[in-house]
Amino acid sequence: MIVRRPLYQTLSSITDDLMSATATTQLQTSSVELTLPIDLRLPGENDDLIGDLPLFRMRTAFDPEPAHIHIVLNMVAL
Amino acid sequence: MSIEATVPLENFIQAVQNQLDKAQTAMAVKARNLNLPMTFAVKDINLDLRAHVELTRGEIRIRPAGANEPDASVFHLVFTAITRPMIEENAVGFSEDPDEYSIDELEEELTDEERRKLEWVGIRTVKKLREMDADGSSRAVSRVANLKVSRLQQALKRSSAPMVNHVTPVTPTQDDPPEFNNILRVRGRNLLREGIMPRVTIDDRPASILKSSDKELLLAPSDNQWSGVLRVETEPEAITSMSFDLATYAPIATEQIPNPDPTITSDNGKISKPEAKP
Repeated sequence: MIVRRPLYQTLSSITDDLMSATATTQLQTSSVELTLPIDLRLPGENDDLIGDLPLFRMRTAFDPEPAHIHIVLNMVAL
Repeated sequence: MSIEATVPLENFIQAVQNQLDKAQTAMAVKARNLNLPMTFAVKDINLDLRAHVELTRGEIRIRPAGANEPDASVFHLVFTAITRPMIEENAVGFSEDPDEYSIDELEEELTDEERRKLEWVGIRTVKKLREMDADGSSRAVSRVANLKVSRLQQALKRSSAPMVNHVTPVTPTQDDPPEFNNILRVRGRNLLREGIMPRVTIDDRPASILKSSDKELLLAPSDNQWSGVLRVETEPEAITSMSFDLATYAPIATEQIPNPDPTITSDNGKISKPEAKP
């Protein structure tokens, strides 16, 4: 069984990868914008909202259309 | 669409906000642990969600569209990061007074749907509901919120009824006079009606009121009124009662010890020798 991640873990994972990718360049990244398909599953009581990247590129007739998320990330000083 | 398969839109939005907060916290914690001077922060998130929408019991609920449901609505939700002052500026002043009660306190008088309708017209607290009645706008509110005036009046009547939360003995300080040992503090709400002191009895016997306010009464019970049924009546149909037992805090009566020396008499606790007769 494939465990689907909560939305916050997906977002954290994306930003981790972005940090790693931008750390090796000479240029300072100030802002990143992404538009991604995302499979959302409504939360039950006290559950996290499940929001993970789709498992498959090709979707069958039984798969609902994914939601789309557009994220704008800014680099900020701590 | 069964109600179990749907989620209130409000809960969904809160769930997304919660996820964004968690993601932001995780990013900041990781950057601090790695001693990074900078990190990414979520500025904006736009979410397009295909879902079916319905209004059930005054609540907007959604269900994500399944496969082969091309006619579903599309929710375009935009979240943006705002600063604390912006939050405070835009947040509804829910309860500036810490003693103010939410409209949800009236769950016995008003249904969930009725309370939600009142929230839609900006009435979130019991105090606001009373103000509305006082300035004569209850009819207008009942029309806008599609509630019966009689239901509102009934809820208001119940909300203004006295209520006792607890009864405690007053703990005197060193500076207090000795009579402060014999005081009961009654805490609750609506203990005054238009500034007029209530009628208070303990076990059907009147109790003296030393001080009264809307939320507190100070009583001076007699020695045998430290347990029983406390009854507070602000008007003939506005009565509350509560059983309590603080007998262990009752002042101890001074025992009459037989005087072994008949030449010594006791008067009001003062011991004195009778004067010698010539």
